[in-house]
Amino acid sequence: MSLSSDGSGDGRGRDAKRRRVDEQGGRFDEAAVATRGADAIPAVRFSDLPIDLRHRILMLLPIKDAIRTAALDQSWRDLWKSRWHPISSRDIHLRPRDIPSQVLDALEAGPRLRLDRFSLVVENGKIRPRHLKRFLEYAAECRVQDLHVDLRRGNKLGPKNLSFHFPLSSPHLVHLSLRGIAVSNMYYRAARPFSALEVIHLHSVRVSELTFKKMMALCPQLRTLDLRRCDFRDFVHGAQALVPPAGENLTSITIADCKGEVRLGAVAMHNLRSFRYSGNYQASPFFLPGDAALDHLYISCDDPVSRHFTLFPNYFDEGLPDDLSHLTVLTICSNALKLPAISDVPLEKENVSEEVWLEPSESRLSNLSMVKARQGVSAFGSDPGPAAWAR
Amino acid sequence: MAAPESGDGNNGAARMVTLISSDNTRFEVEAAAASLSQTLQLTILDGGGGGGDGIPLPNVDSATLSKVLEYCIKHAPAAANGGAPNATAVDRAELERFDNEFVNIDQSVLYSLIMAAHNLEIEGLQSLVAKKVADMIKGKSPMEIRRTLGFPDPTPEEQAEMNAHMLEYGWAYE
Repeated sequence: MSLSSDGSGDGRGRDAKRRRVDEQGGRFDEAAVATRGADAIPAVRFSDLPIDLRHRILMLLPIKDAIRTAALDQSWRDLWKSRWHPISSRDIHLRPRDIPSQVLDALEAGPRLRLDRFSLVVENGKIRPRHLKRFLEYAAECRVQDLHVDLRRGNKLGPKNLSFHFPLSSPHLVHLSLRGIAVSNMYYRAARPFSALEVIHLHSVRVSELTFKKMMALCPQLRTLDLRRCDFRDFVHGAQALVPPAGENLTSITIADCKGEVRLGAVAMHNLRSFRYSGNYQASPFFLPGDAALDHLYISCDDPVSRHFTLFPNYFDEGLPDDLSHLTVLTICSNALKLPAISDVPLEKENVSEEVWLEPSESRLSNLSMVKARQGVSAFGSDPGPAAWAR
Repeated sequence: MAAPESGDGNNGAARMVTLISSDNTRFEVEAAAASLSQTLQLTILDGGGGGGDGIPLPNVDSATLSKVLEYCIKHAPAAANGGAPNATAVDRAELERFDNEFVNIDQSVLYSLIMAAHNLEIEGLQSLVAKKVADMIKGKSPMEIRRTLGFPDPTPEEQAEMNAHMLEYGWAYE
């Protein structure tokens, strides 16, 4: 677009008054700009953008995109947290000596600024259900997008009988992370769906089968479900059944060290690409849909091993999909796997991705004797490597 | 682009000011348009930039300044109406069309424009370029964001930092 055409383009002519009185009187060389631009593409770095412009950019981005700008450099890394001044991330850590009602009063005295993230960590025996509810109401009023609630029970003072009321959460939730809390069965009637919610992490969470189903039914866009150390044995039916929802958009499911059966077989999950399992397969087996087309499969078994027990063959026949030909990364960890006979070299730690030693079942992996992998080893909750960044 | 030659006196009512780019090119422009810049506004209110003086802009080259002024000239009428309560939907649509076209430019030009909009404190232009950059980032993987914004592939150290951040905020990458 040229200046002159723009100046007269609206037909009023008044803009055409902008006049170049350059001593050279020549044409303004836009071609030079274009040439410079073409040459400069690799050289231009948006690395030293003014800070207030970065804020403007971040405020225009959905939270996930804003967080991903961390890929650029250190100066961008934590900048997204300040998208909404003065702070957009609120961390509350209730320690044993804190008085919950005082913390709440201070919190509620302030305005309800929009929050990207609200984190509540409780190591305090004085917190009561009404306190917890007020904290969570505050988070909802701040239209929080990333909610983390962690009740720690390391000592006798640990909170008891506290419930999370999922339907009362912020409708803007994108990520929900719960730890050490029960999910209540209340408020589901006429609850609105959480149309932005994409990721749920539950760690040591108590939730009944019925409640879990209702919860999942409110998450039509859920893509990632991560369940760790949850106990599914006390379900209403007394049996061991976890039946996630329609789950049409689920692409990744992780089941780690849970108790009870994980039965996904009856559900159509056309988008499921990644499944990660860790646990005692005999006691807490999983059953994937037969037609799932997985890219990534991670299985870590800590079944007791004896000389008379062999893990393979056909061990997972019931649990795995029929067709595994799409797999690009397969990781298997088990005590039952023997070192190949041809190898007389002890397996060194550095031969295996470190994360495999740390995750997921901690000390029980000390007997790990072999990792089988194609195209690299991947373990969850760990360094994903460059491939994941390019995804 | 041919410089309009009909400058002098065909609208004596509008006050003109002269801006001088870093490479000594002089631009004569209506004070109302130049005043979209908060930086220039005070100087102009004080009577600067008129006559033969001109306001030097050592941080803005002529290519960028001409682009900036293109924006200011287009937006000056609406701004003069105080956000234009009487602007028609047609006018607004025209401005929007102009804006979209305006930032459809090469990255190096965009970058210069960003810096100029910042230095000159032109509110509307800052919003416009921020939106452009946000659109360039949206929906991309971390690597794609880096490449889009002209960052080289990460060094191993940078990769480690990226991975650490990804561990902390893994859910945003899923």
